[in-house]
Amino acid sequence: MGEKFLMKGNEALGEAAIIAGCEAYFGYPITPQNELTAYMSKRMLEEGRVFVQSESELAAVNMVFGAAGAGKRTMTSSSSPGVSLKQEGISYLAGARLPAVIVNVMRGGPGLGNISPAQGDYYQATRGGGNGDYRLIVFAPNSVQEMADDVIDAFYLADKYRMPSMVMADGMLGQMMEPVVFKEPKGNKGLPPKDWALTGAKGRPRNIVRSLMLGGTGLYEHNEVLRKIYAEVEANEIRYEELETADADVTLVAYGSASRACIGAVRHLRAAGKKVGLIRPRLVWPYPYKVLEKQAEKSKKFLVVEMNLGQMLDDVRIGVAGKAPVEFYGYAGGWIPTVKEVVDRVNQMF
Amino acid sequence: MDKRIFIFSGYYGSGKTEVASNFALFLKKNHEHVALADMDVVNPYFRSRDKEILFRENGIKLIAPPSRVNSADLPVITASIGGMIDQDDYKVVLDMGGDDVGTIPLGSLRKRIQEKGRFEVFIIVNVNRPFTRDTDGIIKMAKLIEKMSELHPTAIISNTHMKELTDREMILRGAEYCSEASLRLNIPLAYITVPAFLDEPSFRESLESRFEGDVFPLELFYHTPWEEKSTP
Repeated sequence: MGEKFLMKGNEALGEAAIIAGCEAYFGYPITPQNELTAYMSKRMLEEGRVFVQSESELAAVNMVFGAAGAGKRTMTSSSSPGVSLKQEGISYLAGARLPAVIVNVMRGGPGLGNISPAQGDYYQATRGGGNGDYRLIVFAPNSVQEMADDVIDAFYLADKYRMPSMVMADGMLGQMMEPVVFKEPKGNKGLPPKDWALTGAKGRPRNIVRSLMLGGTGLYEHNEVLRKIYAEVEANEIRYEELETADADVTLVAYGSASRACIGAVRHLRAAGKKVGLIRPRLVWPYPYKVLEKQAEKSKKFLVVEMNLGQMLDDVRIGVAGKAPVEFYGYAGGWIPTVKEVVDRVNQMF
Repeated sequence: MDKRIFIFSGYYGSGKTEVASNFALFLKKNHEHVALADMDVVNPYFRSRDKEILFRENGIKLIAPPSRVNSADLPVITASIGGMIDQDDYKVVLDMGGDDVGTIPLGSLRKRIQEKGRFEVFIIVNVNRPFTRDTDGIIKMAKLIEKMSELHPTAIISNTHMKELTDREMILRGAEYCSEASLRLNIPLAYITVPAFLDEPSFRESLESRFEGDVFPLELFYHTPWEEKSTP
């Protein structure tokens, strides 16, 4: 620990999972997250843990269901079209209240799309790509360091709330290299015991892990439990960063790779005497609506920058609640904003 | 430098593409015909094919898959590379993909390269990368690459860096490991790269007096979009 490595985002995701105590990884290759699966194929075996390259994405997520049901820390990863294939399993994990970590290193869509970086899966991650009323805790890192930190936290929060969590990165973050220092995981401090897990029923009543709840009011009651948990997450786990927002006339809102250009733009525009700030949600569910609502009291305008056609835009509009105009800058299909583009777009707003 | 074909291999993320691109520009100073072949079937981004303009402006022939397949998930190797290897008036830089896997495309070219002779197989090493942290790691990787490519590495290039956090002490440490690995592998340490922002005569001298290899100054061409110099 404390040692600095130069790593690809995808590799950092893998090493962080190992540090977090991930005992079983199941994956199926897809660009641009292949280095993660490749890294795990090497390192998990070195650590004497479980690595399976499954026959499909759906198989991988169902293997995660099994490992999580046995009370083990487990993870699967893919990129956009592959994560679509996992949606059934993710809904089942949420329904069965199983903690697990899903990584999405997003690429261009819809459909098979291309292998370029994108943020087109925001709706899928935050609105539930599978069926039923469920939520994922969704991390949105913007650096290799944050990818490592977020995986460690994703395992912790998944266990804390007994629900699946997701680390949502994009192809650029997965492929680029940056220095990273791995932090110490929190361990199991403050986590509830996994007394629901399938660990062998000898000497105790058997546990059942399932999402099928037929008859009576069982499913209604189960959903009420989920409602309560999600409310707790929303109350406790809001995470965001603010940059120069105190006196900002224009507030940018961005996450992931798009936020990197926005940070550069804020610095440039501030140097030119323009009052511009940035709100960067670190989790995109739960979402910092109240932070935006408060910012809308002082900021004249908002600009959402995303590598899609405008998805988080909806959440910013919910937060701002009509108190200020919310504009959008973004494209889909393999585009990453440059600092200059964001600066030019913001200058149009003054 | 009588060699004609320069193969850049190494653990992925070791900086092969950056060093190979710089090397092609370096060759161009003294040779009319220089070609760089993007042989990377591993990396989807940060590839030499993305720097078409840089090579065109500098009169270097870029051999790369057609741009229409750039964002497809296809490991394409351009057929014309074989012909280029046969052209005796060309210096050819082969920018391979990472790891042992990345050298697989050499399999089909190996015989031709060996017949032509006068080739270098450089192993690029950054000791800040997780699997080449020390001499043992470097040697293990060099052997894997040799096994897969069936080409014996001929020299090491020390390319230890931490992007903008690179410092001189780090470069020295990397060169030390590479120097030790070169002794154990019985191949020379050919170059020690130094990014432009750390390159100065006294540091050059201290490196070149301590190590067998020459200092190779690097200009950095491959950036994330938000690092691009197109600042307003």
